[in-house]
Amino acid sequence: MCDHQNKNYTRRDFLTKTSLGLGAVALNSLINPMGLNASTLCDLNGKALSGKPHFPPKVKRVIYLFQSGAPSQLDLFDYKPLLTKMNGQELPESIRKGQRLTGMTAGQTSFPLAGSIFKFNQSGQNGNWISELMPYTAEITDELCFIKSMQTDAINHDPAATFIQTGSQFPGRPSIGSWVSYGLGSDNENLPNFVVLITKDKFGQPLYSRLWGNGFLPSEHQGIPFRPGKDPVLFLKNPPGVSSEMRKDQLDYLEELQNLQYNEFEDPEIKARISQYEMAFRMQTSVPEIMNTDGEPDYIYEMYGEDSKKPGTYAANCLLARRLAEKDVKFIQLYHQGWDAHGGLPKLMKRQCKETDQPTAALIKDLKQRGLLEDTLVIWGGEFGRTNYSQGALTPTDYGRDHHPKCFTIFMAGAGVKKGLVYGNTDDFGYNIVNNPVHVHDFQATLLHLMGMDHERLIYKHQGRRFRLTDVSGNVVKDILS
Amino acid sequence: MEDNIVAFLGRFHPLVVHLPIGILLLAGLMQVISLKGKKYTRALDPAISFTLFWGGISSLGAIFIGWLLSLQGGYDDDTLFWHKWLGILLTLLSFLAWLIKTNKIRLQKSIFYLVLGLVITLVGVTGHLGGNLTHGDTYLVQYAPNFIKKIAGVEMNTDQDLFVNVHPDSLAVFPYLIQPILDKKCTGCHNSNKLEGGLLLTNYKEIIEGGDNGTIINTDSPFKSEWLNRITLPKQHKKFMPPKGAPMTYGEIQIIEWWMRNGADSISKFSSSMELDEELINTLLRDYNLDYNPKAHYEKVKVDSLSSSVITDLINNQFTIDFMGETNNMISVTYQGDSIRKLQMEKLLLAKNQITWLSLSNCNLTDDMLGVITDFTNLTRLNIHSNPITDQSVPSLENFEHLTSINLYNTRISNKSLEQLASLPSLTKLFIWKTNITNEEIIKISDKYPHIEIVAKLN
Repeated sequence: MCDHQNKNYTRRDFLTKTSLGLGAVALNSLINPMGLNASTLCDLNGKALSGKPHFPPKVKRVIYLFQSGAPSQLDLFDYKPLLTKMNGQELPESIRKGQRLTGMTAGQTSFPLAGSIFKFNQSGQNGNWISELMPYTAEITDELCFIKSMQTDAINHDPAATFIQTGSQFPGRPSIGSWVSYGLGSDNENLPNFVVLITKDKFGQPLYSRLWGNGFLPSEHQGIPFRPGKDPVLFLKNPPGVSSEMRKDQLDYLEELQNLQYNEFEDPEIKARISQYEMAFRMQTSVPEIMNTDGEPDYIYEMYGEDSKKPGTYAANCLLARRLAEKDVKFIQLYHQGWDAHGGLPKLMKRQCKETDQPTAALIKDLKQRGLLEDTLVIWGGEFGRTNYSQGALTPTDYGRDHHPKCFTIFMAGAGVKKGLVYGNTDDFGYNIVNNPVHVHDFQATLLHLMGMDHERLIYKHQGRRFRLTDVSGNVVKDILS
Repeated sequence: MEDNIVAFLGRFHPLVVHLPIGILLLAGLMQVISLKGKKYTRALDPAISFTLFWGGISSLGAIFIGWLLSLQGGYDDDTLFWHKWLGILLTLLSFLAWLIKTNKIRLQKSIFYLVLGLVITLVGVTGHLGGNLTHGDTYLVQYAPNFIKKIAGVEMNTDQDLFVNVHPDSLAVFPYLIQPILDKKCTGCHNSNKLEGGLLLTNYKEIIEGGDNGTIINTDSPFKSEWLNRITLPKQHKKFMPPKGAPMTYGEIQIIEWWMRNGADSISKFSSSMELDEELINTLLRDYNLDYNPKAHYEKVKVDSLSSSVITDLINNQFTIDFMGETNNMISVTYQGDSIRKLQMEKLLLAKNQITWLSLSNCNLTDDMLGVITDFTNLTRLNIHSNPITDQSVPSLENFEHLTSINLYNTRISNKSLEQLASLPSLTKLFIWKTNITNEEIIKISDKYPHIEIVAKLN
């Protein structure tokens, strides 16, 4: 059922459906809204599709390595020798074309072009240029599909991150993972469909729970953050003295009470609550099991890097992401903060890359050797790009870069995308896109397409309007599909 | 091009012809206004006769250079005949109207109105015929709203709705792709009215017959054909086609080339050739939204849908089921438990035709249980990693014609089985990390079966 009002039928539904006979109303209220696999894909008329994707999926699960704060594409993947050649010269107006700037550099009198101080090397069979900061990623470049022509609408972190994760710059829409969970249902009844892992002790741009929030979708589709350490999910353990059996009895009675309440008010949130209590009960055993990486052999820790033994690091989270993927969790969302290099970029980039480069590459290789890359998609990327001119003073050893929404680079690996492809180009200044632009909505449409869903048909009716992840735009980038 | 004063003057016809059109319409307008009263009649009558006279004179000029233009040929005979003689009639009538107006011939006023009305009508009709001669007879309503097209009796397909009800495999290249390209870019001049170069590009028969210089098709080397040669010349070249408007796109040229190379048949289809060039596949996908990418077995095969009781039965036995699409009855099945029992395995037989991806990993699956799935004919991916499986399982896998990928990592498979597995007809991927297979064997088999990606330990 896709008429998600608090009543099973609204006045309008009532009038339409009674015109078809009272039998229709009766049938309508009998249909179990959670159906098979709890899946609720709809066609355009809001008719449920009995748990089937729209077309054969290429990808069964996604690991999204979100690099919060926006990594500098010009120092990692978008090699621009011209910037090095013209280092210190002014950004020509013919390139900037009056593009708006953030308040942080709008007052600057000079916009000196800043070439990357890092060396770029060619890697892989396609000779893709990758910065010396990412040696491990460079090694697996033949597995990767780069999009160098990403573009977004927002120029500041919060709206841009909200935009790429929920399809809207304004808070309140469901995140990609929630849409996926809503559309495809669950493959593992013991673990949440959508798990969030955040690198601990990182600072910089804040992460809000709306980035993995369910918006107006039923709340069982929200992302569940797993915390490092003893208590991965808060308040999951039974209180001292309460046994598992007692807890189970308690939950059974609670469900009876909640069903009474549901029959009275028919609020779908009550159903969501019941299913979440049940999930929590099952997670009491499944979560500690998945979070305990003691059984991993040493060579796996070596592969992910020394950090991987410290819970809560990016490396440890990458390892966990693999373990969750093995358990068929549909959407695994990682966040790594600290990429916001307004100043002191060289030092910051070295630190960030050291934390992430090896684990990212290890994750992709590990998935591959286990055969998981056959139906898993890994995505690496931030919310926008960074400017080709220096924010603040440009010295031979130091510079900063401001926010740049007009182009940035992401890469993907795994099922459904072409390996070893570099898609889209920016101009020699690394400022504007020359060909094959990929808007955030195009990226989201492509992601849903890979999972077997038509982004124009994955809809949810809320407050009288039909909503989509891609709002009213987005085209599947067919050129990158394998 | 050599000087040709006749042709040069002739081409002024479309310019000059607007003089009589304007002048004669003005005469009509003034006549309508003079009906308002005596005062108007007195003031306008001399002007009306003046305009009729000069309208006639300018018509004579237009007829003369129109005749010069017609000498160059290339126009549809029928339309030209009517355009010419109606033009001449129009001129004669406008002089007649002048004679009546100036009382050189005394006739009733009603006759004058009749003649003048005829003149105005003929201006419209003759002008429209002239337009059809120059631009082709679909030019005027090409972008008209559909209801106008219907009135005009013109059928025009738009790119968008062309392929809605056509399956890519049954799409004939010529009528669906090439003729629309021609209609968009060529038939403005190469139509039955204009017939430039004696070449008619409005239907298959005429295209094959060619123009004044013979055939325009060369199936052996398409780029040597007159057709592809002319559209791929440098744009400044005087023989470049089309001389005005948008040139052919790279994708259009690709399609025409493919079609010509494959025999320039009116019914040939992309699907009938064994393999399409990857570049052409990309073009067709991008420009026409036609997907000719090779399809996986599970996207092509048709099976009955599973009953909900079977689905429930499988779910109750710890299997999860994913469907392969709303119109596809194939399923992907994953075992969720730690330890599978023979009885559970046998439940899979209920869906043996529908299962195309099967995952039974890390669940104590043994060699004898695998015998259950031997005749799962539509299996394309099999994932049985982390199980105590040995070489004895391999005979159970031999019948899988459509199997493209097997995941055997963390099993007890050894060198003995590798070649047997690699020789499965559709196999492209084999995962054998943490097995007893040695690197030497992998290298040996990779050399012999280069189309198979064998994934072992990655460093």
